[in-house]
Amino acid sequence: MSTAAVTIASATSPAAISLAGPPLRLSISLALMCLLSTTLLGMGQRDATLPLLAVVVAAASLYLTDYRGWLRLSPRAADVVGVSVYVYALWDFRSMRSDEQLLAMASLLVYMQFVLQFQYKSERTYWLLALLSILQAAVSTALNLQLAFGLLLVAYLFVALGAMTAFFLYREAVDEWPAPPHRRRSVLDFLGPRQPARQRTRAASPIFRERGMTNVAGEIAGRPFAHQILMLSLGTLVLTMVVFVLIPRTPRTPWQQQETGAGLQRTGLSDNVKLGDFGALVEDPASVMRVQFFDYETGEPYTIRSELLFRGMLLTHYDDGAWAQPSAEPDPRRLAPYHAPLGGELVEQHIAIEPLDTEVVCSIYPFRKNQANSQLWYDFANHHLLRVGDAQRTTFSYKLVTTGLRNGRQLPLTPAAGRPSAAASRLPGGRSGEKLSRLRELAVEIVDGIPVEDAYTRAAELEKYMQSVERFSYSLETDEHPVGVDPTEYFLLESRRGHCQYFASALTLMLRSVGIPARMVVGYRGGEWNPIGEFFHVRQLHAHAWVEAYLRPEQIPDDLPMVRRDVGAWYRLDPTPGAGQGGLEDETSSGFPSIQQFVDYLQFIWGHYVVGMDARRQQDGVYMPVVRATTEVASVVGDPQVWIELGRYLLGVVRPSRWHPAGDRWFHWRGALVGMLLAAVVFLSVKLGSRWSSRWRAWRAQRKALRRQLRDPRYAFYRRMEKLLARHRLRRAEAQTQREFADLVARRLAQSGATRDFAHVPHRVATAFYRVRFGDERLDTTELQALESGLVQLEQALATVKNGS
Amino acid sequence: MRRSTLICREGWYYLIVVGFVLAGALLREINLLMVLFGMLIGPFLFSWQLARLSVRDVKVTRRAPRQAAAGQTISIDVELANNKRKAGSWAVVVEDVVYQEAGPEPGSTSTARLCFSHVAGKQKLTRSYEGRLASRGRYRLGPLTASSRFPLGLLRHCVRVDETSTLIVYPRIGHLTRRWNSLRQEAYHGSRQMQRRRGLVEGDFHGLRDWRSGDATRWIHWRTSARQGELMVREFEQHREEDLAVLLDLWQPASPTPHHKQTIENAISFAATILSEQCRRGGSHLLLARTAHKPVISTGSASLALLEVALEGLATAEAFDQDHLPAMLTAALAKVRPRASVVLVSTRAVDLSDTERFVELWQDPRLRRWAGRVICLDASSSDLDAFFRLDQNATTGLRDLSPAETH
Repeated sequence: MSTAAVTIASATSPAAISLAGPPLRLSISLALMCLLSTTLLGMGQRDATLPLLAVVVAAASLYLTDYRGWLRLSPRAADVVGVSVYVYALWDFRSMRSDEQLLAMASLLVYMQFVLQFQYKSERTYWLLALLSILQAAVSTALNLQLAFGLLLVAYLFVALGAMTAFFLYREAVDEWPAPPHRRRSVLDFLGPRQPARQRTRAASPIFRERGMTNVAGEIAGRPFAHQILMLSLGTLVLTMVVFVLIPRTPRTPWQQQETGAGLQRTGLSDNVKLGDFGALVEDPASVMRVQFFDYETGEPYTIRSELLFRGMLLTHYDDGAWAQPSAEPDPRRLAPYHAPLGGELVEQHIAIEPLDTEVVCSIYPFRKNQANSQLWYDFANHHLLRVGDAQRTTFSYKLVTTGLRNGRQLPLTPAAGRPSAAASRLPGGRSGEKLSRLRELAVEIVDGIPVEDAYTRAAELEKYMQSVERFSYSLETDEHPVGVDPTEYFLLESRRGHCQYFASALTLMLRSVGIPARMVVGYRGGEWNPIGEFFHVRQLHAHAWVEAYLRPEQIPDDLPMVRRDVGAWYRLDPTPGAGQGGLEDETSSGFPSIQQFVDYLQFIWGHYVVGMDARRQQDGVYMPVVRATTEVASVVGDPQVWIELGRYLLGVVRPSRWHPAGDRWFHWRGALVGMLLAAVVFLSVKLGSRWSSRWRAWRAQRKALRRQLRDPRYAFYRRMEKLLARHRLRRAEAQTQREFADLVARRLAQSGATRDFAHVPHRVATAFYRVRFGDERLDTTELQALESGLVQLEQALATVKNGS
Repeated sequence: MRRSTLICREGWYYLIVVGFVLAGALLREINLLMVLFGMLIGPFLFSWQLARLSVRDVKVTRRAPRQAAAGQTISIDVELANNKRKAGSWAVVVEDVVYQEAGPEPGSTSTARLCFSHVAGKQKLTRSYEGRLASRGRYRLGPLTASSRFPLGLLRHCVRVDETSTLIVYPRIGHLTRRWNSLRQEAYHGSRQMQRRRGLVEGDFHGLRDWRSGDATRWIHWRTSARQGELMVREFEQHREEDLAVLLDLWQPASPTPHHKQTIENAISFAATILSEQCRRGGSHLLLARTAHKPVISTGSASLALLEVALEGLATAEAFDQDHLPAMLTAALAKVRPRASVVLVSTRAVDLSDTERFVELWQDPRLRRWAGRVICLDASSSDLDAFFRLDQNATTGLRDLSPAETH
C-alpha cells in the first residue's frame, strides 16, 4: 500500500504535542535505579567510594543537567570522556589479577553511567542507563553474599520496575521524544553539537496526530501507579522465589566456581596453632555455623540446657608455644553410615558450616554418621571430621547423631577409641619436662596429697586452680614473653593473663606433668540461641580452646554419666575463667526474639537457602518433599477406602436428621452451612456452565457462518484465487482483510518480471469480492469471465516462475 | 474481535539479556545470579498477563464525521470504556486505520494512534485525533486496534475490532472568480432571446427546508413548522435561466503522469466548486454528468441533497483511458433542460465539431442544437485558472453533520 495520497497533507497542531522535556520524576526514578545498582556493586567491592560518588553524581546530574539544564555534555564530548574512561580502565586492567579485573570491569560500567547521567536524557540515553544498571546488578551478584545485599536487591527490584514502567508510560504517550530545550552555549559544547542529532519519531510523516497529551507525570505520581508497581514487584518476588528453588542445580563442574568475593574466613582450626592466634578471632562476629538438635527417635526439637562445646580439632604436640596435630600424615577416610544401636540418649545434630579456611568441621562428640554424605570424611590419624572437595568453599550441611548429650546437657566424658597415644603424655624436653620444670613443680604442688590413681580428682583440682579469677585474668592482650622462656610457663607463672589458648595450654601441660595424658581441643563454645529458627548461631567470637584428660576405666568415677564404662574416656576440662557450665534455660526459653535474633535468622535463611542452595540441598529441601507429598496425595486419592470414608462422612453431615438434632429448632448451623455450600456450588456451576456454553455456542456459530460464507457460490471466484495463491505459499493471514491480502500479493507479484503484469489481478478479484460481499451486487457473466481469465493468466505466470526456479 | 500477543523488539532484546544471565547462573552456579534471573524473568511473564488484562473487557468506540472535504481538518473521537470492575487498563494504545477504498489512490493508508495511559475500572475516557486528508475519496476507518505493552513494553497484547465506518472525503472546493460569472452571464444573455418565462415563480413543489432570511412568508409550511418547532418553508423546483449542466470528461492516458493526475483533480474540484456555488445559491436546476463505463448522471434542483449526492460521486470518480465522452455527451444532453447552460470540463482539448467522433451528437437533431452552445473548458491547459482558485481551508459547503458513532 502506498501512502502517497495521504502524505500530501501536513500534520496538524504541532503545539499540541510540544513538551518541555521528560518529567523530572522520570529522571529521579532512573537516577535512583542507577544509584542502587552502583551501591550493590560497591557492596561487592567492599568500597564505599563508588556509591558515595554515585550519590553526588545522581544529585548533581538531576539538578544541573535534568532540572536546570546548565550542564549537558554534547554527544561528542560524552564520547571523548567515555573513551578516556575506557582507556583509563584498560590501563588499570593490565596489571590486575583476574578477580580484580572483574572489579575493574564493574567500575568501568559505573564510570560510563556517570558520563551518561550528565547528558541530555534522550530515549537512547535512558535505555543505556537502564542497561548499565542491570549489568551492574548482574556483576554485583558475583561479588556479594551478604543478607544486606539481598535486601538491597529487593529494593532495587521495586525501584527498577517503577523507573522502567514510568519510562515506558512516557515513551508510549509521546509521539516524539522531546528535543532538549534551547539554552545558551556553554564551554562544554566546544566539542560538538548541542543536542543529540536525532530523536525518535514514531511516524515519518504522520497524517493524524493525537490531540493533547496524556498527563504521564500525573499518572506516575498517582496512587494507582504506585499500587500497580507494588503488586508487580511483589508478584515478581514470589515468582523469583519459585524460579529460584525450581531451577535444577547440577553437581559441581569445573565451570562452576564459588563467588569471587566470597573469601574464606580465617579460623583457629589450622594444622598448627600458635598461642595468640585466637586474639583477633574472638572479636570477630562473622558467622561460622548454625546447629540444630533433634531427638533422633521422635524427630522433635531437642532442648539444650547447658553451654555446648563443639569440638573441632585435637592438638597434642607442643613446642615453644606452638601446638600441632597428633600426626603429620593425615588419614582421611570416608565415613560409612553407622546403623548399629548406640545406647544412651540419641540426639541428631544438624550443622550448617560456612566456608572457612580449614577443612575441619565441628561436632558434639562422640558422634555417629547415620546418613550418606560423600563429602564428610574423618581423619583417623588426627581424629577430627573433614569436609572434602569443594564443600569447604560453600555452606556445608551435615547431620550426625551424638550420644554426648543427656537431659539437655553435654556429658563431661567422651568414650576413648583406644589408649591415648604417647604424644598425649609428652612434655617438651622429655618425660622429665626439663624445659617446663617450674610448670611441673607447680602442678605437683597443686595435686599434692591427692593419690596418683585418682586422676579424675587431680585433673579437677588443676582445672579449679586455673579457673581461679584471683590468680588469673582473662585478656586478649598478652605480654611478650622473654626470649628463651616458654610462653605457657611465662603465662602460668609470670604474666597470669591471657586467653583460652593459654589457659588450655597450661592445663594440658600441667596434666601431662602429673602423669595424666591430655590434649588440647580447639573448637567453639556455646553460640547464640535463636528462638525463631531454633538453632545455635556460632560465630568466630565463640572460638575456644579447652582440654581433654584421659581417664582409664577404673579412674572414671561412678557418679559421672557415661555410656560405656568398659573403655577409657576423655574427661573434658575448661580452665578458662568464666567459661564453663552456664545454664541456657533463660536463653532457650521462648521469649520475644530480639531484632538481632531476627536478623540472625534471616541471615541463616539467606545463607542456607539462597546463597548455599546447591544440588543436594535442592534435592533434600525442594524436590524430595514435593515428591513425597505427591506420592502421599496420590496414595490417598488412589485409595478407594478413603473415598468411601469421605462419602460416609459427608452423608452423615448432610443427613437432615442431623440438622435438627433437637427436633423442634427450625434453624441449625450445620444445615445452614451445608445449604449455603450447596447453593454456592450450584450457583458457581450454573454461572460457569452458562459462560462456557455461551462461548461455545458463539464459537460454533462463528465457524458455521464462516463455512456458510465460504460455501456461497457467489464467492467462488475469490475462493479460487485464494486456493491458487495458497499453492504458491501465499496464504491470507487470519488478521488480514481480503484487500490487504490482495495488496500484499500484488507487491510480491510486482517483484518478479514474469508476474509483474498480473499484479493487478488480486486487487481486481478482491474489489469484486467486496462488491459482492458488502455491496450485495451480482457480477454479470462478462465480469466473471474477465476475472476468470485474469486468474488463469495469473496461474500460468506463477507456474512459469515455479518451473523456472 | 481478534486477539494476539507478540513479543516486541525490546522484548527480544530483554530476553537476550535474561538468557545471558541464566546461562551465567547455570554455568557458574551463582545463586544470586539465579535470583537476578528470577527478578528479570518475573516482569516478563507478568507483562504477558498485565498486557492482556489491560485490553480485556474494554470497549473502543469511534465517533467520526460521515464526510469531510479534502484538506479540511477532521477530528475523530475515540472512547475507551474499561468495563472491568476494579482493574485499570494501562497504556492502551488505540490505532485506527484510515484506508482509501475508492478515489485517486485506492489502497493508500494512514494510521492514527491514541494513547490512554490509564483508564480506571468502570470508567470511560475519550481522546481525539485530528488530521487532514489531502485526497478525495471514500475511506474506510478501521479496523480499530487496542493494544497494550504495559508495564515495560516487552510484550504487546492486541485486540482488533473489525467493525469499520466510512468517511467520504469530498473534492477540494475552491472559489469561482468574476470571470466565471461573466462567462455565465454571457451564456445567459446569449440564450435569453430564445427564452421565455413560463409557469409560476415557485415552480413545482420539491420539498421542505429550513427557513432562511429573505424567504417569502407564503412559503412557510405552518403545519410542519409547528411540528418541528422551527420555521420550515416549501422548496420549489424552479425553471429559471440559471439552469446549468456540468459535464465532466475524466480522461487520462494509460500511464498517467502526476500532471495528468493533477489535471483530473483540478477538473473535479472545479466541477465541485460550481455545484457547491449553485447549490448554495439555490433556485436552479442542475445536472452533473461524468464519464465512466456507463455515464453517471445526477440531476435535480440545486439543493444540499443534490450537492451531497454529486460530491459523493465526485469523491470517488475515476479517470479512464478509454474515450467515454461521446457516450456521456449523448446521454447527458438528452437530459439537459432546453434553457440550461452547458459546461463541458475535460482533461483534454475537445473539439465537438469532430463529426466522426461525436457521430451520435451530430446525427440526432435534438442534440445537434447543443453542439454550438456547449462551453468547453480544457483542464489540462490554464483554462480553469481564470475561473476558480483553490482554497486550502475549503469546506464542503454542506451543513456540518454530527459525527456518527461507530465501533
